[in-house]
Amino acid sequence: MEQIVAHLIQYGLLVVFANVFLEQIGVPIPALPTLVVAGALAARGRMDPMALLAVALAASVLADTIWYYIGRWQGHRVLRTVCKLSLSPDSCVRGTEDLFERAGMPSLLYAKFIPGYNTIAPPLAGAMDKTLGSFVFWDSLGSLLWIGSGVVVGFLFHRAVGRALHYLETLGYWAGGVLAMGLALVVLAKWWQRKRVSKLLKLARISVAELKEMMTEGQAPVIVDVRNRSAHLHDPRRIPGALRVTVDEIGEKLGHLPRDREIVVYCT
Amino acid sequence: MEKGFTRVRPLEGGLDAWIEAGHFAEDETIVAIRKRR
Repeated sequence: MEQIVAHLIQYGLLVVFANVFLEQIGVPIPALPTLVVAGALAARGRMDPMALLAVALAASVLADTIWYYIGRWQGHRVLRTVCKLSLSPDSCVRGTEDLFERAGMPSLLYAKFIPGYNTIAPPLAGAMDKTLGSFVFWDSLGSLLWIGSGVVVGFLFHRAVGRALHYLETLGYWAGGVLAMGLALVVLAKWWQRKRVSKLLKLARISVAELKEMMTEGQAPVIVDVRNRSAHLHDPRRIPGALRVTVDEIGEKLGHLPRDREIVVYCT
Repeated sequence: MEKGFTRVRPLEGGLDAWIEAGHFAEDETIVAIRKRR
């Protein structure tokens, strides 16, 4: 216990900065456990709570601002790249765009509590040409809420956190091994699940080459462009002959689509 | 999703993949102007 605490006190703020920055930039290393432990240390007077909040906030806003500029530079294309990590890229792009379109910049307040949206919201704000001042304001508030929640939990339950750290200390080198094995198992399970689902999705999708071939052979399916309004404003192009149907119009327009022809839907 | 329809399939990679493959994409604003004329 003393050794772990000593390391955290010595490199605490640096560890917090690195962990928060890496998680916010997209590396799957959760920062919340570190914030909880740091909060527990702050409760015991072994870490300055104000310095802890400031360092974590700086790391979070810095990483998010990098994503914001990538979004400004790459536009909506960055969404597809980020969403490639998710199980269903199409629904990931649509879902996040719809959420941001509905809630706007205030959604950055709770973005950090929604897995996936957390990484996508900052580049989306950039892609939608939101001002840097407005972005930093909402992102700072959201970051502070997220960091504060971890630190407060650690602060309130510092005894329980202390007991958990003590248990890990008694395990000695085994603790590292057990944690590494647990992490490896989680990554393996995610990878297997992703592989299985992407195989199923691949079967259900149509490739660009297949669609082009159908169109050339005169067997063109009904093509439906289901991108939302902001994506349309950003890029007014569409596949020749595609019908534009937004989410609000689906119920109304679906009845007019022919039922005897294949339908191909696409988004960004 | 396919209820009542022959078959519904999402396009792999969406509009970006279509454009990246070098296929023609019509500009909706130009199509709208032509229709008005």
